[in-house]
Amino acid sequence: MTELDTELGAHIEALSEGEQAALLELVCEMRARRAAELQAAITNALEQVPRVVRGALRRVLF
Amino acid sequence: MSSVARRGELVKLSRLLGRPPEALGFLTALDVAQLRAVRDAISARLFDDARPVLQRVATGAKLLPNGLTARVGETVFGSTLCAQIAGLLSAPHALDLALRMSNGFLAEVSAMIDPRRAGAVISQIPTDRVVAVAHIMLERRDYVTLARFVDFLSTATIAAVIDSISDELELLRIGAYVESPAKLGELVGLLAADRVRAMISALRGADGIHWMEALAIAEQLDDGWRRTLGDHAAALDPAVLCALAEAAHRFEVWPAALLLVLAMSEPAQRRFLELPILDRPELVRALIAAADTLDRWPEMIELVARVPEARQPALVAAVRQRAVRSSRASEA
Repeated sequence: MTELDTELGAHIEALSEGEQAALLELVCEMRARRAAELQAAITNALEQVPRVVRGALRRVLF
Repeated sequence: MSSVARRGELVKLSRLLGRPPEALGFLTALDVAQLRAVRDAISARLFDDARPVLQRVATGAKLLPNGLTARVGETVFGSTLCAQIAGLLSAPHALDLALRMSNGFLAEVSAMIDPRRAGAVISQIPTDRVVAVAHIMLERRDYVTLARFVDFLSTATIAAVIDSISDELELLRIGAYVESPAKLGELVGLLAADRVRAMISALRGADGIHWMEALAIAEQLDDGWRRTLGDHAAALDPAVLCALAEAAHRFEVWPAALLLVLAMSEPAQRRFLELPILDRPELVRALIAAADTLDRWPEMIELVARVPEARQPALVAAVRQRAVRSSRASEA
């Protein structure tokens, strides 16, 4: 989170410490959610493709 | 910057964070530019986090027939991930996939995509598909997304979308969220004069949000376009200008309204100054405060000189008094 903290730094100076923390918390939650969604989508996608390409696709994806 | 621009930014940020805009109420201390910078930084961070995996997905997509990839994209990956992956595919590949997806799904992807990462694809989508997707966004009242795309579509495509929308107030709502003042001027230029007048007339019976959006547009445009719009408004029933003044007062957006009035031609300004509503002391105070905010006193004095004192004594007296105070201050 430190990187994002730095990236947002100057733009969120007007917020109180509590508000800054609340915003960073929302970003943190979204990062985790996106990562989980992406992993789940990849797993599900492998089920949807023909067996014949599944191996090759798995090698590319993982 | 208007509260409309701020609301647009909050909507975009809330989508990025997967929360309703109301959940971001604690960001009141940030202005529009800061909200935009925050959104850009978070968007870049979320994209960079996922980039290595998304890149592998984009590579994997090349192994499959496009029809299958499009189906898996729509049914498994969903709009948010597809929006991120689109920017990592070659433009022809992404375009082919997009054209195989349903219009409803494209409308969802559009709401999530950063158009700057997919501009080459967006600009290649055929006009009939853009019009169809735009109408789905309109049904969803997604004016913010519609406005985001104007920078990436050709003028001919935008004109086709405008022609296909019969409700002038819907056009107004889209225009209010366009970020680039130059592009906004270009869009107003695409409207025939009768549509501009119909839009302004429709405002007379519209609710407050439409007036705020109309004044947000006026605030963004240059003086040339303000003059055109202001003169159209003044050429209509005086009740339209009266409604403009009442809305400016009610929603505390007199600076935007005053910019419009200052840019009007002289005959149009005279019609505005003859409005009986301008004899209300609270409106006069608000007008003076708006001139202060804009720091446009020379033009304000010139404007008020066009009205006979007997017609608007309170306004003329207030402007004179303010002008004297201002000249004393500069002498001192």
